[in-house]
Amino acid sequence: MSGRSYALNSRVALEGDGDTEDHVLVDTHTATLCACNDAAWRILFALRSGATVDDLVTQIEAEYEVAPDAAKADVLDFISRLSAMGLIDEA
Amino acid sequence: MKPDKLRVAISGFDGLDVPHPGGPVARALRESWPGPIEIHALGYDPFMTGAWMGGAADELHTLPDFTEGDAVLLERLVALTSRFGFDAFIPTLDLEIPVIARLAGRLEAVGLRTLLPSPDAVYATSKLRLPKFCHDHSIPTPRTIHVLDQGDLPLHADQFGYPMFIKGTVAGAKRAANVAQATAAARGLNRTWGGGVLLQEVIEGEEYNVAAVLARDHSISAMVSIKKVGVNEKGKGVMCTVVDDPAIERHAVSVLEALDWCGPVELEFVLPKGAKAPSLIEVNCRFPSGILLSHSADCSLPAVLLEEILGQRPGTRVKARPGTSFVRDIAETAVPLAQLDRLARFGSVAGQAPAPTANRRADPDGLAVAVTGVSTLDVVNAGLGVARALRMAPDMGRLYGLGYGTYDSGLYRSELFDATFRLPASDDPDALYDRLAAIHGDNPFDVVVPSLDGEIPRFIEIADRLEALGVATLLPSAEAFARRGKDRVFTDPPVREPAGFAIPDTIMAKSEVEAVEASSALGYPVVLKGVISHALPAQSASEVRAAWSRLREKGCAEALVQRFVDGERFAVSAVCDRAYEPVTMLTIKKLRICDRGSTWSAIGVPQPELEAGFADFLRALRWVGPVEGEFIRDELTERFHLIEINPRFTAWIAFSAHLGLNHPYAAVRAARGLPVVAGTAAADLVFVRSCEDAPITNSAFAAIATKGALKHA
Repeated sequence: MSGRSYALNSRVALEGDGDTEDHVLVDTHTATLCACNDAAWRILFALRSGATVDDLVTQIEAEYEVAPDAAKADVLDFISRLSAMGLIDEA
Repeated sequence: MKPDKLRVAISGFDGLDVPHPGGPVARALRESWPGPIEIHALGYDPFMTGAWMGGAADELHTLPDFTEGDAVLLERLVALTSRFGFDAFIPTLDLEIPVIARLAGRLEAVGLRTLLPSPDAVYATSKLRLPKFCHDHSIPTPRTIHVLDQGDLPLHADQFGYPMFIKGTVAGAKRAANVAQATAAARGLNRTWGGGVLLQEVIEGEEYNVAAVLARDHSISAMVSIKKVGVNEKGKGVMCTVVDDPAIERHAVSVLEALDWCGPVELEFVLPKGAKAPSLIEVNCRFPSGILLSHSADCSLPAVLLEEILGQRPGTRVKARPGTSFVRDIAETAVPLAQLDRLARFGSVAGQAPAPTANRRADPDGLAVAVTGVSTLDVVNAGLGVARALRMAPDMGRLYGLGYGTYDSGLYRSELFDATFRLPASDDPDALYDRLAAIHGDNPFDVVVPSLDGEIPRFIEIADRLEALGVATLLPSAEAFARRGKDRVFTDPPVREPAGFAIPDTIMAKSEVEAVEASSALGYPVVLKGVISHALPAQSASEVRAAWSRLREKGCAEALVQRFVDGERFAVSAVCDRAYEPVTMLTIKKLRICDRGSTWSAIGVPQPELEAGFADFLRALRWVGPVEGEFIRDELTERFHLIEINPRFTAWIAFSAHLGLNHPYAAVRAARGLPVVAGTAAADLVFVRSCEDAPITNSAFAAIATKGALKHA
């Protein structure tokens, strides 16, 4: 799974205000909103153009000084949630 | 020579809390039409509230009631077109559209162009015919039957099963959980619209509106799918978002292709949980009232329609930007009485100038104030009016809005508030204090003005702690608050026979049987009131039972049964200082009220005797703070009857600032122990309120939902 590449699909819109750090994922099919923290936002931005789990883990490790295992678990959990919502495709 | 400015006539600027689409159509055109445009608002009486808002219409005109016949309406439209040079007409009311469609050829002959479905097409998808249309085209729709004879309703309702929707033949719908509610709802809807009622199966699910424009060749020019994200008690979308769900769009296209249609259309769908196919609920021959959202989403359907009417449409289909949202809000203004009078007497008048660009400014040395009650979800809360009045005061500091729900429209109003915060939806006074203290820690304020009945006891309980924090309040004692409650003020008033007004006979009922007995004792008609809110008139024992059932649904364990008084409605607003002395008073006569009893138009009418009597009453109550007395003047005896005492500002209170009295400003000063200068109300202004959709960003909504705070730049 680590080497697979994922990308957000066309039903995702990302809205964010750089000043207030209020970042939101919008599912444009259902109007579901998900408020995002900074880490989620970084992953979503990376997934706009496609990224592997390894890419994402590397980015999270570098930004947040988190152990590799914890970073990988978080990334996989996040990918799994996006997949369950139908918002991500395997590239 | 044809003038270069486009002149467009639009109808449907009224509707109060269920707004007609004309105002949003006008605003969308004003903001999206590429060239100069002049908007002419057409209405069937002078109180077309949305048309009076600043910048909504360049001119206002009245039309004869279309029930007077085609010839009369045609004559008026031709005369207006001749005088004002209308290029196009966009009617937006369900009942008038078949009439205008019949007249379309003759209107076009004088240069007034429209684009409307034929009367036959409208009839084929009317509420009465929609089940057949859906059956013929294999379109899912809720089970629906038409009951013409009201005497047959209990039989059909019991056979149909509960819950159900009772729908009027033209508009209006009420959910009924039993035969008493169904019968009462049917009686009211049939009285309003005639032709019996429809019983419709309730399908629980997510609701969508699809708005579209179809060209003269019946092709789809543009289409926008809108999801109702937040819905109020009436089932109206109070927060809506543009979506691009392929399933909804596919079904909408199949319905649109089955219609024999041109012009604007609204399809209402419900998508049952877990289902793939939505059910078609209604087809309306005009835009939805939330049509401004299409403009916010870069696909202005009113502009597309106007292009189609004028034959200017470019060949490319426009696509709306999904994720665009609005929250339903209100706008208020004060209109010179002379202008209303001119419209009533002469049929035409110039519109109101646009309001100056919102310019929120705070005096760095001014008082900072926090205001609660900023929702327009079901009823318009008073906090919005309080804030607007304070913005009109000369030396105010920062203003903060405090709400309880994410759909509280005021939380997103950057022209009113410097920042907004969510309060805990809890009955615990300590939780309220802790939240206010936390907000005050980061954003200090000098005064807090609670504006909701239900929260005031909690504010009374924490008032001393707030005072210690440096936050002043102007509130009554717990005893005074309880004594003005509906359960005591009518049965144990502080003044038995007040001067200036009477207290209607009232009996407390704790069961349906007691409510019927009380009604028999008082004589019909009566009104049943919940202790906190809700009031339902009843003209018979069966209507009393239905009203009792409705009040129970609303959580009312008991009800006051009161003699119904018919007549004009008045309200007296006052602010009492800590010595129980009214420092300012204002009486209005209500000119337009919605079915919830809220005031949408009013005029100031001094009533010295009533005000003096009410002032005595408030002194006897030992009242402190803002208060509103509601009265009905009996049409037979001309005597005022007390209907209710509200322990806070009324929602129309910004009107006091227009009149030069500014009650919220007086309350804030009195709370801080500052002198209040009593003024004299200006005359000849009329208060007017209208619904208005306010675009919001999803990030603002998320900030309120997750962090409970939103700072406005």
